[in-house]
Amino acid sequence: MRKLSILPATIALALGLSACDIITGPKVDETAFPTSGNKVLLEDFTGHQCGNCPRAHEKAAELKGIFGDNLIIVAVHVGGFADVDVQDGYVDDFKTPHGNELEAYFKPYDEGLPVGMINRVDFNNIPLVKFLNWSTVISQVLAEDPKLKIDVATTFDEGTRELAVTADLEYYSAGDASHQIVAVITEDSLHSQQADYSLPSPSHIEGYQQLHVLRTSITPGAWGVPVKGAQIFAGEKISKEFNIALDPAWDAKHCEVVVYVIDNDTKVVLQAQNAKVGE
Amino acid sequence: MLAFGLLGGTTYAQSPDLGELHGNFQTDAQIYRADSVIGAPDFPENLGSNSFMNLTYTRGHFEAGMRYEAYLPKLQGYTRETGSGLPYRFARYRHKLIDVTAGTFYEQFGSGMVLRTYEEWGLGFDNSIDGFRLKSNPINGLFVTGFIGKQRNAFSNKVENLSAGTVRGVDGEWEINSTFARLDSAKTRVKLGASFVSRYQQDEDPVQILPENVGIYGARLNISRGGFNLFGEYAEKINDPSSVNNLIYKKGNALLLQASYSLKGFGASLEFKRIDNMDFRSDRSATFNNLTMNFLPAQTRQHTYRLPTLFPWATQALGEWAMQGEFLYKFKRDTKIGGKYGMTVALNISRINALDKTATADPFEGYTAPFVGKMDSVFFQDINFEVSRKFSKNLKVTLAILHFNYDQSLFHQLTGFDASEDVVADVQVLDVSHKLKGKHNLRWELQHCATKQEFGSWAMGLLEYNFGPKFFAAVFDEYNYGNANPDKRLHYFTGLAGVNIDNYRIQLGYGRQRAGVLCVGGVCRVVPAANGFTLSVSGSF
Repeated sequence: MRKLSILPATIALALGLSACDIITGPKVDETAFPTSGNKVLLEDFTGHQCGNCPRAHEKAAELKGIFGDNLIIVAVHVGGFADVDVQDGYVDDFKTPHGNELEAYFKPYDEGLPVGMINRVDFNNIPLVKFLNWSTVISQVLAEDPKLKIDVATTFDEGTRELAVTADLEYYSAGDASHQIVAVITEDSLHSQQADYSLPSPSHIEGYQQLHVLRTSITPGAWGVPVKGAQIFAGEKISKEFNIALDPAWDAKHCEVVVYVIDNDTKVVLQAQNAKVGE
Repeated sequence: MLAFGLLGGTTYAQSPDLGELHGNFQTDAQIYRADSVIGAPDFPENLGSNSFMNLTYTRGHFEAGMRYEAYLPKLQGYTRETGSGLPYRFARYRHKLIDVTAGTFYEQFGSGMVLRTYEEWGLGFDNSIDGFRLKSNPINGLFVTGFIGKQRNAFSNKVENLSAGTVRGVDGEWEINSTFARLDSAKTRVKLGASFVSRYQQDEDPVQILPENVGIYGARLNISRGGFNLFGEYAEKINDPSSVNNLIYKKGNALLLQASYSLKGFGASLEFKRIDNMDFRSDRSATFNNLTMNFLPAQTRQHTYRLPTLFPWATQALGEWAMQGEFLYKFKRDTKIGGKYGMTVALNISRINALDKTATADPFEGYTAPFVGKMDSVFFQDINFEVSRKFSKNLKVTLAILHFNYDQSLFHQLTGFDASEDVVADVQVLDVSHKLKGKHNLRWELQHCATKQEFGSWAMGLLEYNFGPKFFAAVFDEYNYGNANPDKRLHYFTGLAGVNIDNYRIQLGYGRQRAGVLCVGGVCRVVPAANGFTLSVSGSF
């Protein structure tokens, strides 16, 4: 009888000793991450009334510090959390038709903000990834061989505010007719009110710095235009040019052009590139 | 819609030689109409429905069961996938020392602070474990449970979408009096328990070093003597950086103390709870109500009257400090105060405060918090008094008076409602039941909620008619007459009627439903605004 009662205690002890990892050393491993020439696009679905979203912004900033130029961030303000509510001080409208189209297709708001997409590749069977897992997916994408290279150049006329974007594509392997190219503009350093649940009541920050805010797409809709509209050969070089007049309300020196190529059948991003306006 | 009704007619023969088959089912369907006035969105399918059927077969020491669930599409406000499946199925064998379950099971250790998996249909909540469980009762009074498995994601109806983490645990409970023959008849009963649960989840993060094995453990003690009962449980969790706690490595802990005393016609209970960073899930990236492994009981009264449910409480697993006291007294019949039929009075006071958190220099440690919380930072306070008296054989009256203080900002995430100031509300309820001739019963309620914050004041009236145990019908109207926005001073009118036949119940309703938060035991979900017909059919066989 005594043996029998010792048994569960022994099992508990054995489980206890084997099943706890207490981290006492460093919490971050800053050893090199793999790079292959791929650049990765992080679409961070967010909203100024979303009080948990600043956590995702912090994560994005931390990852930018680690992955540097290999990571391109676009903050897409969507859903009810991005609605304007003048009475409560959320006066800026960061929603865009492009973002609304992404919202309708991927339904990030239903999944719950904050949530992001990394090149729109699946993680746990869906492309919407919680920010805790962003670095995992980013590393996976960066380790893959790139299918193509994109170089982007911009010219900006401060007088007419005309912006011309040239994207030079070079395919390393064959591409499908379903490949489309998308160009968008983001703006940094916007100051607006942001909800933040980590704060005691009132739980918002006035003058919060919004980064990488999606402003508009230069190409039509959210899915852009065909790269070629036909089979693309390995080694083929294709040049695309787009023009847009910048909204006078946007500060050109804080604007960035982001260009990426998607497979329009799956919407997965194959390669991305960015450039400052006027560079 | 008729198809739902037909389900009720199915019965199964039961024979002792072949074992027994039992089951139950429910289908809740709603026809949605867009209603821009209350913010009810357009619903492309027009009809949503959540349905399930449980089947359990037993023969001798063997038991097997399964549950089919269908969300075609899901009702609004449930975090479920649309679709159908068999997420629950199990086989169980019980004989002498051994009780073994293969498949899906629900389990609870102690009060649930270390482990509780359960199902709550109304919340759309189900965190069952799919795996293997062994229970044993090796000596009188000693109960041992061990399990290993993966957890069902409440979001999914599919077995294949189980948790990323694997969970395993062991629990022992010892009823000392049952083990020793000479203590068996002792008035004082003592129960001891200890539990340990651990999650394994691979660290796929190339940057942050995350613990792959995270343990949570607790010990509990229960002493009772006559009408007196004392329960205490303490639990701890090792470093568990997660989406919910902002990836901090701080240890978590929880303490629960409950004392109660009851005699005929008198009851009193006191509860205290302190929780600090105790959100534990089978996937460190899970959020909302998904994949929760433990349950932190709410120290608040769960109201059943309609307007007090405007102010539900959701347990703050990241930190809260809660107290609750409850007193009940029944004045005897044929006394001056009790009158001819007696009178019951009940007082319930609950208060939940924030922890006094101070951020640490090392962001990975998160914060420190002293044991005693901030008394000036009230998350929630509910003082309610209820008196119930029968005036005659045919007339019973209940009067309830409630006072709430409520930090609405905590519910931003659920309701999207931004309250810059805390809610102070006073609610009164009058509930009158008349027994009419034959088996007819009439009941009516008047309720009022006075508040300047949130949606402003409400009034409500209800009329309910019962004919025998079989038929019932009710109408009620909630009127948000005090809304700051004159366009939103709306009536939310609902009518419903139903019938109970044998073990089946069919209920049909029509009305406008206000948006809000529904909580059961401190676990909450959002109920969106809706307008339309509802049908609910349930039964057992």
